[in-house]
Amino acid sequence: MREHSKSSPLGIHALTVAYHRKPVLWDIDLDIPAGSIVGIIGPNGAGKSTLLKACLGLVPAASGRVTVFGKPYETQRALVGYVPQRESVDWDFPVSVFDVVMMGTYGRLGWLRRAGSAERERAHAALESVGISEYAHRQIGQLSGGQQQRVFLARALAQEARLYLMDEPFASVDAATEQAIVGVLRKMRGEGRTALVVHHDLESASAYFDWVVLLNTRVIAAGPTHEVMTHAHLRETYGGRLTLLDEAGERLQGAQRG
Amino acid sequence: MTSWTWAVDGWIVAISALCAVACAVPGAFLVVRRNAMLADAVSHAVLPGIALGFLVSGTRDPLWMFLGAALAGVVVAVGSGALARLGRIDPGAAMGITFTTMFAIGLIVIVQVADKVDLDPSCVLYGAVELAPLDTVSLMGASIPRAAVVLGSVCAANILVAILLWKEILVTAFDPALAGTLGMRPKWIEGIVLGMAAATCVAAFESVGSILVVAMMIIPAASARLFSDRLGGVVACAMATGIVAAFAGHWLASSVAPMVVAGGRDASTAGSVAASLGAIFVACLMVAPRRGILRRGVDRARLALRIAREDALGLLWRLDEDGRRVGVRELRDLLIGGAQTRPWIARIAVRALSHDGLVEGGSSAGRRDAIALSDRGRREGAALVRSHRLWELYLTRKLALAPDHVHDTAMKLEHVTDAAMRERLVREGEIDLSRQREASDPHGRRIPDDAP
Repeated sequence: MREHSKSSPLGIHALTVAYHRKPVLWDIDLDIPAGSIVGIIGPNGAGKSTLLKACLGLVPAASGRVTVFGKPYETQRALVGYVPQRESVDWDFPVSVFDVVMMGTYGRLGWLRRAGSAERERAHAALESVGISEYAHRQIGQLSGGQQQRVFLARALAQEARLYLMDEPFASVDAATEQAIVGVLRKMRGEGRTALVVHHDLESASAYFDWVVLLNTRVIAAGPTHEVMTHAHLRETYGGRLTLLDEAGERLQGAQRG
Repeated sequence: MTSWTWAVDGWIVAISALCAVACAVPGAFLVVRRNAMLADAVSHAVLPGIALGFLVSGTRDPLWMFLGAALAGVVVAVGSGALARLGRIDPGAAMGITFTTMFAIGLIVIVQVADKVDLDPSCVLYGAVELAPLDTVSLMGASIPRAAVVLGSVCAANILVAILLWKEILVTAFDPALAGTLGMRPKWIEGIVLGMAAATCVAAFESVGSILVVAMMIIPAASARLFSDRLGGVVACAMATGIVAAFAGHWLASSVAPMVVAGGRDASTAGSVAASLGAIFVACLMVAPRRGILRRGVDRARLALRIAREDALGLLWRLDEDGRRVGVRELRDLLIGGAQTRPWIARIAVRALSHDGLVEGGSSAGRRDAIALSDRGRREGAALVRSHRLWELYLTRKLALAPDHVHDTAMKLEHVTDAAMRERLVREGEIDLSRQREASDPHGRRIPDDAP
């Protein structure tokens, strides 16, 4: 078994995730380097979102474990921020932009304690840094898609985490939002924070990420972007799935059903 | 008609209002999560628990009812989960099976024990809030209806829980995944909200019955959602709606219904409260800002009018280009026929043109007189036609659409295109307006210049 670094913001140790016994992620083993912007890239159904959710304990792992700065994730929640896919929530929900950003500060408050002026200041600063302060008191459904994505980003910033897991933050956003997100990511990196970003656009990947994980139900390659983004690796990632593995998975599921 | 006496009617209204306020808290949380069906499910599921409480204790002591309901809740949660898993059926169907079965068992038991605990089984369904003031307990020297004490306690408990767990409930309802990563235990919070709903159903059972309590949970919250864009606002508005309905419902039942229906008998207060809630919801749906039907109708008509007005300007400009003139009636017919404008909208739009000074002539003197664009009208018409033709050019070039396929799309896009967008159309469509060949649309028409 591989040796894992204690200082890594995110250590994934032999993680396997299965839905109804059918594995969707096989034996993922990764150490994410600190202070870097890391892209997770792979085709649809590669398990990119599932990997993030498994790291956060939102989907159960069949085996393996996840460490954050060398300790189990459960004890390190406050250090990890999550930016879910925009479609994962109901944007018609009766809540203001500012209230959503405030949610980022609740993790540290704990039970029964109410947010005070320090939390409100953090939320305002976060809104400012993604450039949507003027919409603070709007209901969230009144924003454009790109602005909604920035709300999620601001909420993560207000959390003041050390490690961020972001699920497709660049998906169908306008050019201004894309630039705002890139700006925030670079600022985070400058402060020594780490971001793990699920991404689907190969063209912009080289420009945005220091490090890339190529994923297709298993890790094809992981490392510095220029070393990993090779034709051979990309062909392996996108060219055809391992059908034998798929079939075995189907049989496992069938055996469970029978 | 029976006369209104505060000692009786006042208590009936107060009990109904307490019930409505207690229901508003879990009701609002379920409605904003789009889980209103759970209120229905919970109200059915607690019935066998209540019956079990009767069976074991032989009294209508609320403590036993709460205990029984809690047990029923566990059975339902575990039972419907197991059913969905083992039977491999849809969770909705599993819930439907468990809840209705539980409700049926509850009904059977209640009818059996009704005599023993001095209960009218028909009240199970629609309650008997009219009788509640007769069943009093003494509290700190005062004689207070038992239902008021029970509902008041649940009401206070619901409000207290909502205040203490506000941020957890808010985050769990909006984004359960985030709640999980913040260490908030969303499953527990969802359980607490359902527990609130269940406790409220038990407390409301004798007053409004196990069916009408669903109306009290869902309708005020759904009405409130039309008026408020904040969770706190929804809860507060739902409470207010419930209180209004409690007054209106009892007044209708005790004062109005006996006058309408021959025989002079009072109607069911609980039923009238629920019916009032329905009426309030319909009224809210009509008049609500932004989401209301009236407001949306007005907005739609306004938009149609603006579009018709712009279409008329564009038409006049194009006719002018060909050296043609039309009268008011002809213009109206062109709008109705060509641009598929509704006749009444076309009529107002054409009238608005002369009212706004965009056209001259064709006024009161003679309806057959030709109308002409004023200077301002010509400028606005030119801008519209420019937008239209630039879009046609852009669509044929950038989307490679056939020239005879772009007119209808351009017809729609021209109404949302301002000067800045026209500039971008020229730039991004790589349209060189200085060259003679370029300065025309795909149909060979000249693209008018933008007004300075």
